[in-house]
Amino acid sequence: MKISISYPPIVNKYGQKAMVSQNRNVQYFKKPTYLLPVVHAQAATLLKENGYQVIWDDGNAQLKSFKKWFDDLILNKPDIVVFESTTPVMKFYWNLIDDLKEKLPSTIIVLSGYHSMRMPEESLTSSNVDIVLLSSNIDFVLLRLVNFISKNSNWRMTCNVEGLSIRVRDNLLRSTGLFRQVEPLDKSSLIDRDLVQWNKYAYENGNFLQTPGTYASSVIRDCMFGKCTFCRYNGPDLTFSKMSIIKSVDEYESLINKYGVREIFDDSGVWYRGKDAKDFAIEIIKRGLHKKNCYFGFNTRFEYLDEETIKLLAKANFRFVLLGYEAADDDTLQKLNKGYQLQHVNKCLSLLKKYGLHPHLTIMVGYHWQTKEQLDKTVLEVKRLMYSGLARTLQVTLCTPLDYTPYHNEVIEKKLLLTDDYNDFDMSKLIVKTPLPHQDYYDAVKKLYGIAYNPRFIMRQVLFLLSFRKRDWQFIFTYGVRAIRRVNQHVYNLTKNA
Amino acid sequence: MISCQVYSLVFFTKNTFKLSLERNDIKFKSGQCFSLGIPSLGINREYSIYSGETDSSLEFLIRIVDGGIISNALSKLQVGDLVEINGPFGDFTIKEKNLHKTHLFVASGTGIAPFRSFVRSFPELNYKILHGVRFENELYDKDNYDDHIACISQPEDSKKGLRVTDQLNKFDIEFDVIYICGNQHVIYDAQEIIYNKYSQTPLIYTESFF
Repeated sequence: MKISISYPPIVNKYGQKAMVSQNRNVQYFKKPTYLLPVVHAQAATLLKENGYQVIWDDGNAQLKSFKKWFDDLILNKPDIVVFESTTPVMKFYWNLIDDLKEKLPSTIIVLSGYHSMRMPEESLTSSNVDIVLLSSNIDFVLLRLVNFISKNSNWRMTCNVEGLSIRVRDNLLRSTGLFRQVEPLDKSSLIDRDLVQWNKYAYENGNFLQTPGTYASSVIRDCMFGKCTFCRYNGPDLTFSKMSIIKSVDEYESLINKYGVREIFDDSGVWYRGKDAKDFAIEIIKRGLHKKNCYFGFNTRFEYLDEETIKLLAKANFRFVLLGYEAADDDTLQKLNKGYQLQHVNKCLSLLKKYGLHPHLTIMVGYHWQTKEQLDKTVLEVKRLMYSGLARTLQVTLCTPLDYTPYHNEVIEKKLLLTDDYNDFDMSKLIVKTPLPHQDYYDAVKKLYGIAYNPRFIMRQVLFLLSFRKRDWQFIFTYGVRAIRRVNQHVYNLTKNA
Repeated sequence: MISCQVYSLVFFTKNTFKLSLERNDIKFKSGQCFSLGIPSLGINREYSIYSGETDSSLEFLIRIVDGGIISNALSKLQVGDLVEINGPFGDFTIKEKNLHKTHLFVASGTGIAPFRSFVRSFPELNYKILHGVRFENELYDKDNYDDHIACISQPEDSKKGLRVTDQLNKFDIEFDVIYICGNQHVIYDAQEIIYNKYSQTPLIYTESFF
């Protein structure tokens, strides 16, 4: 059986391509940024390990035009095609699925992803998709599903694999109930790097301090906190699970020694903390991987890392630490269920700075309640953190309700959504009613990205990069150019509608 | 964030204690969790609520983790000290539509915390609790439950050890709703047993401690 895990190149009217971005949300960018879809890559690996023929078909990373990608898919004639859905590309996918079904009527099309798993009937009635996965554990569900289909020609009627919505025929649909994860994450596969052509994702990623970089198989599936209202890693349908330290370090060792990787980022919603984080760093040091000229990075939360842990992580050659800052007022943090206090931000960032780590802040503006005072405070506070060197880089996005998260449901219930066209959910403009004119939030975005051009910030950044053990001018230059290019792109994207 | 004064610390074992804090009018649903932190430390950790929705204090059941910053700091608090509280968070709660149904609560170790909160908040609930522990002295507040089955894996007497998964396999009745809380591996094993054993899969809710 031949299975294609497929990502079509999706191009908007500005000639920008849909790329997976912050929180795996889709944004359109002119300049490429390629993020390896980790769970789907694990699914591809697991299927291959179980004897299936797998095509890793990422039209973006493989630099294909849409036509070339589509023609290749038809030529390959897979038995099953798997897509990953998210709100702003749903309409595109529904049209694509119908086109594909016309060309390949016997191919089974499976829709995965956080949008369709929360609204399965919508996709089944809006397109000719055959199956919608109701679980974020794509690898485990997909393997069971494919095993069943390969042995049962009447699978539409008889498939009892949990976590599926199936089209029996025409408009007759059936659900097999919510998937419950039984397999520990340790039973998932470490990504087959050759299968997913890892090097196509190794250079164009703004978060890599040096290249080639790659994403590790995430040690945490979904999020160990999992409460933030805007985040898709939140909901009773998700099951947090954790991979063992040894298994993860084994992968790091292989990536460094076999593939020559120079930066590894773990994109788990929140990475290990406490004892696990310390044990991981100790294992890296024990194996000498901290001396292999490879930087490590991860996502974490404020108030999760203590000084002893940060010190150990620095010793183990960790650098890039991504923190969801979101806003500089406690009222907003409380509404978002962030679970941390602004008063502790300085302490956390000071410790990261003290040990030479690279804190990257993610910020959002345009919450449906955000007042001028709250917005101004966020801009001022972020400037202070950046100019003082407490934070090194940042990313600003417009808060966009997506994938039927609690924030999305809240704006629907309160009738604050300004559009019901999913194409408008691409984070390029605000789509909720706000207390201020939208232009004020776009201006705030410009001000925040404008920090990158401030001489005071540039000087601090250069001094910081010089403080790295590495004295590689090309590295500093390359990183600087990439950083500026990305800032320009974000400013263009977020303000082109203004 | 709200700061709450410590009312008391009661140690059940050398490593596990009940922390009682002033209520401060904080509202929550039984089974939810809060982030607890120590002022000036700048670190917090999530803990499930141990007390009921109408109890006069907030209670947490805390196991001291080897090298754990927060659990160790909390264990050294004195009456009157302040604890920073964020929350409540989470959906591991009793669903109103299921109130009339039969409930099975499967806990490992301090994973019993949300279940005590459940039974204190819903005294009419039709439930059974399976509590898996290593030693008998880890059966925290066992007298608080109407229908409690202790699964002690390393009993002091000559009895053979029993795990929650053994007990789950022994059941010949089926429950409508099952909640599982605690160690991740116990959750996986319990789910697998239920999945294989039940003629019709019940509603299952899980909360993993980490």
